[in-house]
Amino acid sequence: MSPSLLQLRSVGKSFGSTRAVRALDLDLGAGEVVGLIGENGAGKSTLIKILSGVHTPDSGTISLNGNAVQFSSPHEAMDAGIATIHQELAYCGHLTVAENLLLGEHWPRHAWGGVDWARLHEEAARQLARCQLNISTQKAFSDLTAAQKQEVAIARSLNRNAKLLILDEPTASLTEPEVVRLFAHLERLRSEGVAILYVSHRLDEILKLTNRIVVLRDGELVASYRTAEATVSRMVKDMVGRPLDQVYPRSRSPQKGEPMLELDGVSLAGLFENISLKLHAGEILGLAGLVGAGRSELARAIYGLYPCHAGAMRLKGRPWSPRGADEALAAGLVYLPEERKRHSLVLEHSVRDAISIGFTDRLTRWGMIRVNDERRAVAESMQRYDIRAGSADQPIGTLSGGNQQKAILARWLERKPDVIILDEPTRGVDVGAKAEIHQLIDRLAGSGRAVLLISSDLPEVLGMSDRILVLHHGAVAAEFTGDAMTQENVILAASGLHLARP
Amino acid sequence: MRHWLLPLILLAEIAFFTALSGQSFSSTADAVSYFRSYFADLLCQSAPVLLIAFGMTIVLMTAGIDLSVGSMVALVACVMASFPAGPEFWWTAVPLGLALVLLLGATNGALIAWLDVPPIITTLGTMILYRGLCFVVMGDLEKSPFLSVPGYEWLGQVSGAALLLIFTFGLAGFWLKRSRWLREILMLGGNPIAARYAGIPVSRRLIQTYGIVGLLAFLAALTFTARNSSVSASSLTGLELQVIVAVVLGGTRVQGGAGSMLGTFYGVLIIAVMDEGLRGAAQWGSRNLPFKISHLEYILLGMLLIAGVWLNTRERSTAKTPPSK
Repeated sequence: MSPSLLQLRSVGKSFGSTRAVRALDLDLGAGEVVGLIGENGAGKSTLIKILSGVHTPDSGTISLNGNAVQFSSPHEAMDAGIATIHQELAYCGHLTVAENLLLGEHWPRHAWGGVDWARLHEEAARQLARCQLNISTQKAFSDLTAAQKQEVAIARSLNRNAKLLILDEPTASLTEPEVVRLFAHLERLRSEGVAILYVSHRLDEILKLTNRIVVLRDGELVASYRTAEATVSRMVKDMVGRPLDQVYPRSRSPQKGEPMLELDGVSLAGLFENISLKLHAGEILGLAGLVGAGRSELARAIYGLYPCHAGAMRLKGRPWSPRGADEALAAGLVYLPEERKRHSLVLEHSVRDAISIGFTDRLTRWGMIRVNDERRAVAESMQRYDIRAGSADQPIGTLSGGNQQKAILARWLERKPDVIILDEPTRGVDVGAKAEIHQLIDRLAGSGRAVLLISSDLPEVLGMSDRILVLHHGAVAAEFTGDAMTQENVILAASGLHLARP
Repeated sequence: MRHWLLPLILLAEIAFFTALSGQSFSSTADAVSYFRSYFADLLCQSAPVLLIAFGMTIVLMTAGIDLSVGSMVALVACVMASFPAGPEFWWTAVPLGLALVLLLGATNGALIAWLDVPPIITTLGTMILYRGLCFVVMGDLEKSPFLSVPGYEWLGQVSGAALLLIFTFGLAGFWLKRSRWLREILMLGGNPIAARYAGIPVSRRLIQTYGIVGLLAFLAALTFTARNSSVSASSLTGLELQVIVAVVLGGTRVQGGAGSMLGTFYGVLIIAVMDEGLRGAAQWGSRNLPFKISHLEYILLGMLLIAGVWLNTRERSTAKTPPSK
């Protein structure tokens, strides 16, 4: 290995009680391409943010070229030679390529103080040429393709003498030829001695591009080996780590009922395409896939929040084309959204209001909520779903994540819905509440409800579901039942490798 | 804290201005009759503001704002004023005014809901637009047909104003407070995304909210014209400022999701008492100070608004701190 450029020693970072990264050691040499892999929530983004100066680590040391460094802002990391190309590029779309490229630099000026545009564009063109890019410097940044934007971003960091380039899911929005072009570009940079930390869910890309692979799991670095020694199955095993020893409740009978929800070739431009599925009464259908594969978008379309462009849906046998969530609720379909605080709650409102808003229509006479009935209904439901709060008048924001989630579940389940879509039902929830929610989901299916379970937690989706659909890039990549429902199969399908390697 | 603070401020203010005006009471009966007429006056004077403030409270709960209320009241008053006085006024001008003002309010709501323009900008636009229409309707004239309409005067008297207010605030206290509609408005104001996910028809609710402000603007126009008897194109400029200050002072948050009608009631009265008191003190001030005391009004209004918002944010941030699991 080449001499160490970047050295991390027992770096740790916690958010509240969550330890996002713990006691992490990592070495990166000049001219080395290291692939960083791990499941959602393994701590990859936290690590990237530590390296790029967004977060300051709680413990441990970082040294660059042998000197200890401490970044208190992304700017300092950039000055030290660490450039990060985020998935979402932060640029000024209405400014030109040249302006974006030289943003924050010293701009050439005329004698009287105005910007010397001619020289600015000359300089920008020179920088682009150095990276062998053929893009007009006069173009508005927002008019570039995703690949061109990324290329300009990389050129920008190289012209600031970046020694380490961090790429976070750089190929997420690129087409195949653009990926090839990007790889050629990265190869050239490597030969010039730039170190690259390549973060991706796409294991094939990692295998193709990197020299070395490091695996994060639950905030810890669990494996590090040369790419030559790596195989997909080894990587998957390291990423997932825990075998499926956790017991998931399964009290329901394996019998399926009538189809409750049917999708036939449903598409929504840019989000998902040609999706067909059947969800039966008494069944839990798992929907797996990477973040951004279109799972939540599909759920929202079924729930009436997005209109579909093509295809047909049927709910309980009748054609289904909702124009709003109110129609879905009236038809007996509920959706538990993915982000509690953003999609479900007003944190200052009382626990009672937060729960009863899901079924106020059933508590209302002459437009007025019958306060006593509401009180009783909420008290019962807090007991039924074991929502632990000092009182129902307490702001919902003061409850723990697990209790908040149970409150939102109570909000929807009190409607006695027939079709239930759960989007990451146990995200950010403690272990105890998680087990309770799993039992609840099992009981729901057992009592004949149809459950569509979206989850990025692989053991959960494997353990809970009767059947699993895997989405990749907005399309159904695979369907697994019975013994084929393994972590490896799902990960491979989710990263688009399933079709390539049967 | 608001619950006792606001009435306390109100009482202190009344005491202060009564003392300042040099009023002296020879007997209890004297004092009773003074305060009876004082409060009757206060109620009639602030009836339009109270009515509008009621609607503004709901608007603020949705995290919106309606700057066009002053223009709306003026416009409906102007349009009604261009009808000939007489008993037929009741079945020509009045229903037409009501229809017009509902349309104006719903237009605000529809622009905000459908075009997705921020409320402050939308209603700033309609505030100017509606005011422009006032000038188109009235020109430079000042018209006063109202008191020639039989029975109209009653609306501006204590009994009329009180009846309207009792009706409105009674409805608020009895129905609105417990209504599902308000629950949905509060959720919509607190988190519009969550409201949409909870199946609340957000656009419809917004249009209804601004429509209600329109309806209240109509009632305000009735009490205003009945009391002031005349109207011109520039009547009621600045009404929106007074209303917003009162509502915020009453504890309704500009960020939406919470609000108090009773607070608004106190807020309006605090400002009305200040307004009246400063006017009464004008004589006194001109002798001792280099400026007129009544000119302090806007300065005080500005300070009250900032103080009110500050108090609201502070209350909110203390409410947010989680005590424990």
